[in-house]
Amino acid sequence: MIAHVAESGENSGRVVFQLTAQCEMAPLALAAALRVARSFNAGLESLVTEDPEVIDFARFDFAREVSCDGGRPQSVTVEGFEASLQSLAVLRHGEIATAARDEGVPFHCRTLRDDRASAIAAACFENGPWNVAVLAEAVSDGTGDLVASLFQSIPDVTGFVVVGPTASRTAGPVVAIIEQLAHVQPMLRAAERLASGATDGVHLVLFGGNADETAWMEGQVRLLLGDSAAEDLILAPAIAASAQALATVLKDLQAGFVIAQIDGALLPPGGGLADLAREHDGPLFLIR
Amino acid sequence: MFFRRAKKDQAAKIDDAPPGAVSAPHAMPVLVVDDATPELPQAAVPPDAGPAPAILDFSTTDDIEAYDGWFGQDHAVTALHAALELNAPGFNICIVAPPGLGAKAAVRALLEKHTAARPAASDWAYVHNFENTRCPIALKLPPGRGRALADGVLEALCELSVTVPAVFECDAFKARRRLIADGHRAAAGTALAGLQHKAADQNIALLRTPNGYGLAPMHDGKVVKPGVFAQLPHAMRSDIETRIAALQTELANVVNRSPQTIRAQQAALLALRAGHAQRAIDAAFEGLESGFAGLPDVTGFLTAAKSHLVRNCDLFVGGLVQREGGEPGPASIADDPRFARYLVNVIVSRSTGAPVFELSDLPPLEGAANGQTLASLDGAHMGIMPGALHISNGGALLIESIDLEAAPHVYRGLTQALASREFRPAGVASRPMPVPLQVVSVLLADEAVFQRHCAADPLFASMCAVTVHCVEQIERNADNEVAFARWIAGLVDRGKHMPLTAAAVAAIIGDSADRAKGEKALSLAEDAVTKVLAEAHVGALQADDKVIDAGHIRHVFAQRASQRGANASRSAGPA
Repeated sequence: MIAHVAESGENSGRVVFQLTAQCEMAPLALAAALRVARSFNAGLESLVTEDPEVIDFARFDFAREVSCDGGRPQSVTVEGFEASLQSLAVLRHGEIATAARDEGVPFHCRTLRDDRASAIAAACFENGPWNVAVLAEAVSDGTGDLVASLFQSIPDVTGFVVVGPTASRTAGPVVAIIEQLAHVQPMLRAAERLASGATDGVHLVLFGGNADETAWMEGQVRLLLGDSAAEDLILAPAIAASAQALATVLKDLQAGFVIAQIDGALLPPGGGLADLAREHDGPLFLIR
Repeated sequence: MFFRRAKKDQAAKIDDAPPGAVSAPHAMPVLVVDDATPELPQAAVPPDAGPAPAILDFSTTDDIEAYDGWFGQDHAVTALHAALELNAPGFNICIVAPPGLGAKAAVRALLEKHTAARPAASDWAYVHNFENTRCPIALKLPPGRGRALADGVLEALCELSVTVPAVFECDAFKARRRLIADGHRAAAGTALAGLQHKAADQNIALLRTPNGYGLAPMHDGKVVKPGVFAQLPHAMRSDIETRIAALQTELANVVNRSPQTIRAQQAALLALRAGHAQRAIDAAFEGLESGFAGLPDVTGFLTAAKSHLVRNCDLFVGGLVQREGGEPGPASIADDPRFARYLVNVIVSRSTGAPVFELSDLPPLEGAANGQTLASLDGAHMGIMPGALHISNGGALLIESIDLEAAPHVYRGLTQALASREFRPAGVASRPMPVPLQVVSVLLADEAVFQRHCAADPLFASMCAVTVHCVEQIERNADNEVAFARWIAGLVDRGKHMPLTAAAVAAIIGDSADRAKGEKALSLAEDAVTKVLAEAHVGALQADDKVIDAGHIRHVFAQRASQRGANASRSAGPA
């Protein structure tokens, strides 16, 4: 669940935008990170990680690099790799700093030679108690398992934001997909923060596994929300436990940001996240 | 005929042209009607010797039937009617008439009367030639349809400026685009993932490096440290390096396929855009195509324009170029030079009757006859300005020879067009398609100019299938005096003058006889009679009279005689 959601006046916490210097950044990732940072009055930290294995690779005598623009394999050196990675990191930081400045978001940056999990953990540990990590690379088949393992190894992270390879918009209603009653209030608060300033509102999608469970959940949610339930909250019907069915519901709602639980019934370990990310146009805010 | 000519009628003479008249080079026979009156003996009739009162048996001209034709020129009228009825290509007429006979007004009236009864002439429009941009196409359209085509095309373009961007924003298009992008990305990713799996099976890791990819030995999912690798047995190291080298070759092949993949993806995306744009374009032009279904030239142009639009559908994306101060949105399509090639330039559009046009109505510029192309770039057809031949095509063109003498370039273009029976606008960079010419041209010339033209240019005479020489006077007899009185009544009606008494008419007839060359003849100089009528009308008005009587006419003659005397004294100079 969402461990801590910053109050509107609370400026602590950061959005950690993680990338490698040489990665291909998903087109919507930076926009999603800035939207989260703005919504939660948080700063944006550009965290470029240098994979130590890439440097190790350069130490082999037989190491050859096959360039993306074609050509024959070329021999490499550690010094050459380090210089290239440094240059790329500087370029990436500059690109992100410009975008943050344009949006009025406080900006920080750091470059770490470490594996991804350790680097994000270090950044979150320093900033706490509220951190959201945004992965710059588009969701692939292994991203679901990666996020699950990152949640396990990084206790200080509030959630991960990921985007699909063709995601193109952050506009649209913020949709929270609720599988557990305990998630209702924190997810709703997070959704309302993300939706603040926008006119698209917030939708709740309840998933109880079957019709009876979902009906029971609806009653509980209505009791829980009571008079505080905003008029623009919509209780969507129960859906089948599949990424495609969920994507259809999101498309009907023209959803932008979606808040969902990783490793639940709808996004189970082993590929559910990749399937949803391929179908959904907007960012996914994943909680544990 | 209600009058008799001053000399015996001459039969129409075939191939009996006067000196200087050359037979036409084509098969059309040249008909020369020569009624020029020979010199008559000087008149013995005194100036005021009008007809006997018994002949003019009416109180005022209001009591007699006015004659509104071309008085005394029945042979010319007959020849003109024959030519107009024949309506054969190239059957042009030359009317040789001395000044003052009222030939231009009379011929124009005859032409208008004749063409009013004929079906409306075709519309003509120029459109872009998508196969040969230097040669705009001339489109012949049913009367009144030219404007409908031009408006229809503009409306279709305006509609597309909205629908094409909407099509590219619709969910169906985006979904298909994503499928293509995903498909190609997946294909590229699949090849790389396949290689990654193949390498992993051999404990080799595929790494993303600063500029591409690399392959390194792997153990338990981690890249083996170089120090550890160095301590491995030589045979093992050698085996791993051999396998890495082989995989590197495969990797290079996979990566080098990227440009081809990008090209294939680009082609697929272009095909997708074209397919969606095609549907929008077909819908926008559907009504127009069905409306012009029976006109293959028009449907051919629409098909070519549609095809070009499909290939250039991005014109509609990203806003239109607007002229400063122009209205935003689709209304500015007509002002956007990028769309000029699709627009229709209607040169001539009319819904009723065949036209009668005078060459002198246009300034004697380069394109006065054939039209002119003012623009030279793509879309040059929009710069074509109509000439006299465009406007008169399908009807009649009235030309005064004096205008041709003053503008040799117009003469050249006109004679060439009449000889070849087609014409094209003059232009520097573009050469528009020729327009077939079907016009009856009537040339008005006095004898001297006619002879000069014939002598200078054989083509000129060949243009004139019929040459009519007008008569200047008719025999004076009782019948012709009555007819003359009816003609005067017609001129009174036309000039909206007061009616004339019989004595006043007699005085004018006497004056006409006085001006005729020879005895017992009446001059047909319309201008002279018209001027006398106008001045007498003013005199009657000043005297507050209701009719023009002989006194008013004589007063005009007296004033003229006095004026002539004064002029003669001035020319003689001081004694």
